[in-house]
Amino acid sequence: MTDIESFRAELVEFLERELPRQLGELPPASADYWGGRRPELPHPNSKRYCDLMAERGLTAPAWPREYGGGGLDKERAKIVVAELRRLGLPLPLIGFGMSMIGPTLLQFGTEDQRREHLPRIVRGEIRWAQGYSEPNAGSDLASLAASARIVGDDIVINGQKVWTSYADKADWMFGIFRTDTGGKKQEGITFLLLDMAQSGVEVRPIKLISGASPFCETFFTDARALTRDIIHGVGNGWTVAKALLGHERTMIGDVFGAGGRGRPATAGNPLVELARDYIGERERERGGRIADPVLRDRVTQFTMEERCFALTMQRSADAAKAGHKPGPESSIFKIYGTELNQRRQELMLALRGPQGVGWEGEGFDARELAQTRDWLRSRGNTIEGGTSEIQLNIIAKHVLALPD
Amino acid sequence: MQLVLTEDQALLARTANEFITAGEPLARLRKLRDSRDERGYALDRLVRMAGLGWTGIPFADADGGLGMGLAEVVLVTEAMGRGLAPEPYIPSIVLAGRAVALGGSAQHKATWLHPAIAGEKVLALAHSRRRGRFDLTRAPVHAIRVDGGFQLAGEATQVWGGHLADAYVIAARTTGDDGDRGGIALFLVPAGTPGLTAVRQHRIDSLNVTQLVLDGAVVGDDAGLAAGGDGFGLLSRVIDEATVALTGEMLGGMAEALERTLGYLRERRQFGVAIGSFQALKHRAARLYI
Repeated sequence: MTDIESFRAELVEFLERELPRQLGELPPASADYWGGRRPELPHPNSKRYCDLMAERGLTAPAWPREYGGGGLDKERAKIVVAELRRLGLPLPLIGFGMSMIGPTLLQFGTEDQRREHLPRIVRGEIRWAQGYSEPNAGSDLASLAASARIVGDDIVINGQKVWTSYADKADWMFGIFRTDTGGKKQEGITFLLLDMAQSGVEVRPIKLISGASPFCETFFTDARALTRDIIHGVGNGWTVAKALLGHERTMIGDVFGAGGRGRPATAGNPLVELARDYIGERERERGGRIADPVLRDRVTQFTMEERCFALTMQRSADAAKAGHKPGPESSIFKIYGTELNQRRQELMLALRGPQGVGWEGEGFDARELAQTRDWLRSRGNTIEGGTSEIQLNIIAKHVLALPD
Repeated sequence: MQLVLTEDQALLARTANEFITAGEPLARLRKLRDSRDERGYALDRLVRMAGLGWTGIPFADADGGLGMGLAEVVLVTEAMGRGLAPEPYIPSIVLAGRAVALGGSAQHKATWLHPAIAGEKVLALAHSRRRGRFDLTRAPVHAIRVDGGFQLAGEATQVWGGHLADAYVIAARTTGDDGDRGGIALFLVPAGTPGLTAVRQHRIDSLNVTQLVLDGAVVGDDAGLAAGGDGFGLLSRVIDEATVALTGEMLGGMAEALERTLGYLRERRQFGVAIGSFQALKHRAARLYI
């Protein structure tokens, strides 16, 4: 048996035998667990599942061992994800710690900062929020005004952040604050971490058109942070912030591309199933083509686009694994993935017809009601995380080298 | 499957681009077009492509090929698309050549496929008729049983690479009617067969296409490809493969067009600045890139 095969065998032994022995029932693949001091449990065993996986470094398989990761190379880390998927298990832990601040600390953090924060991230002890946008600093993020004043070892923070995802559930925040109002606006920005459990931090959820409140306003009134939690030095925050946005864009593209990814081309297409269900089939004896030819075309066209996107992402991931630098194609993931998702939602709405516009109550089933809200929610996809227009600017400048 | 080019593939792509670029592709194509060159491409360049091994890519070793696949074919057609190279690589190799490889006898391969791989002979596939509209069951030719073979009658249109070709693979209906997948046969017919005439056609792309008129041409039983009788299946398969090869050509053409556009956006100045600095044009360029 090769090393890789024995690694896989050991992993499967743990996942298939050891985990059920210790936990009983395992969470289903849909049970996203975000961790934190006040964790929400999508399944009664979500936290214990996360804890057992974290003990083996399996919440962050590719991160170094000294920070609580698995210390695995990319091939083995990929096997972990593949086996979880095969066994119908969720990733043990997700969230902005895993996807955004963790990778950023690995890139920019000091040894002390990594040892302080990374183990608590991989164990799911701290849930993180992202303090970036402000009422007057959205696309023009560098004009942010929330201030951080350094007083000895302390930092005093005043001002407001907005669109802070899940701030009401988060324990710590990573964010950018103004430490200098003179000079070039990018140069007065500092990236820092702060504990949100303090009286100077107030969080108010914002209710969206979909009825959900994933975003919040966050107000700071003489809130405190520590200078040892400044990442990459005072005034260098813009560099860190941009690198983190790269991680965020990849994550968003990943989320929206997931529909076409990893699924064999022959597996059932959920859109086709939905269309057969709502529109009916034309000729059952000939494979059940969707009855409405116009919608059939739209489903086919969309499926091809989704497949192309999944293959492009796979190409990028394979190139990275083969040791090539990230190609410029990664710059399209955020804009393409979110626009693709909007088209998917609109198509699903068209397939359901009048059943797709229910808000609550009788006459609609749960999936139809969820669909209405998902569709409304998807309208924000091309705004949050950097608008499509900002993505186009980034591509024009950094990929196509067009002049300013 | 890994979606990364192997070293061999990367080398092939590089060689292909160098060969195409070195041929001053656009000037050459315009000259061929404006002089109304009857062949519409350069035979000696087809021979040199064969010398580089491109024509052997999609064929098994036993058929005199290199035993590679569509991925390598696409690397070649992508380079050809970048330079709008008019040589009949797809028609002679990917369409007609693959049809002979999949359905032909040892005799067919020795007489036609091996010389085609060597670049010494050019093959073409005649599969559509006027108003056929991509429907492969609408065969261009009717084949009537005669003693020891078939008599062919009909007219195939826009036979790619067909003008001055050395032999044709012709789709013909032996039984049934339009819409039937059964009853379609493929015949390998040499140029010069009595009753077969090729007339050069002219399209917007100035590529070599021909109208093939069959008026009582007689072919022997040994001219038939796809002994199993599924001419439609064989035809569908080579058309699918050629479609993939064509997407490579289109990708190459689009990439080149985008690069030229970007160059112009950086160079052309209006209102005192490069026009590529205007956000309206930046966004259009970024959308093109996506």
